[in-house]
Amino acid sequence: MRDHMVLSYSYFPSKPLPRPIIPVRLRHNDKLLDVGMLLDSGSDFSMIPVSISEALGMNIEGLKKTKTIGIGGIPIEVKMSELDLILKRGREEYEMSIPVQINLNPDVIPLLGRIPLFDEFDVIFRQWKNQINLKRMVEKDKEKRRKRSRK
Amino acid sequence: MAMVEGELTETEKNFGWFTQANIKGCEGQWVAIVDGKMLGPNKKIEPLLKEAKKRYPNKVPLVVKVPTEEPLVA
Repeated sequence: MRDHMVLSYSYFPSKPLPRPIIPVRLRHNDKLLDVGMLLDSGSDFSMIPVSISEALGMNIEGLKKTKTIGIGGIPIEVKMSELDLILKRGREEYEMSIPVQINLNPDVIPLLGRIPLFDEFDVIFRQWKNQINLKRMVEKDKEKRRKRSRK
Repeated sequence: MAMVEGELTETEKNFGWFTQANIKGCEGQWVAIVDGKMLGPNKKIEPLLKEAKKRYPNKVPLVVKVPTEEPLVA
């Protein structure tokens, strides 16, 4: 893999404001679904509605309900699970297992949160250009960051 | 720093097509895009995926919830 590769995405041209929604591939076992996810630097975890977890064949029956706090302090009931996130462009493919909150409301907009995307990529919002760049961090950058966080 | 170039994936082609499409009337609803064609809009995902599977059994659909005009706080 080359160093400092950047995946560049345009904002979704919604009216009146373009939004940072990017296309990703989600995988659970052998089921795949492409989803436009709102890149949300304010969310710790990614969140998908239960309708998407069902489409991916995720069995959430036995998972424990937990609460997450939304904007305004309103608790939301979610179930915590894991799936694979695939970012792909041409020959470049990044795949990572991500923790995901499953919102029991089937119609919420899917969110792409910080963990672990922001540990693997420098995420740059170029609002003036309606563009998001995901710059893959190389090992030495990750090491620098780890050292800094230990200080 | 090198920008990623190369052939667009199925996911990106569908999303790229969708960003150019006329989405008026789709706000707040789900749409599915398969092979450059839009299914929906619909208030629920399930019917869209069912139709996508029926019409394009070997393709992976892209689903998007089209944002509304109101300001969004996630």
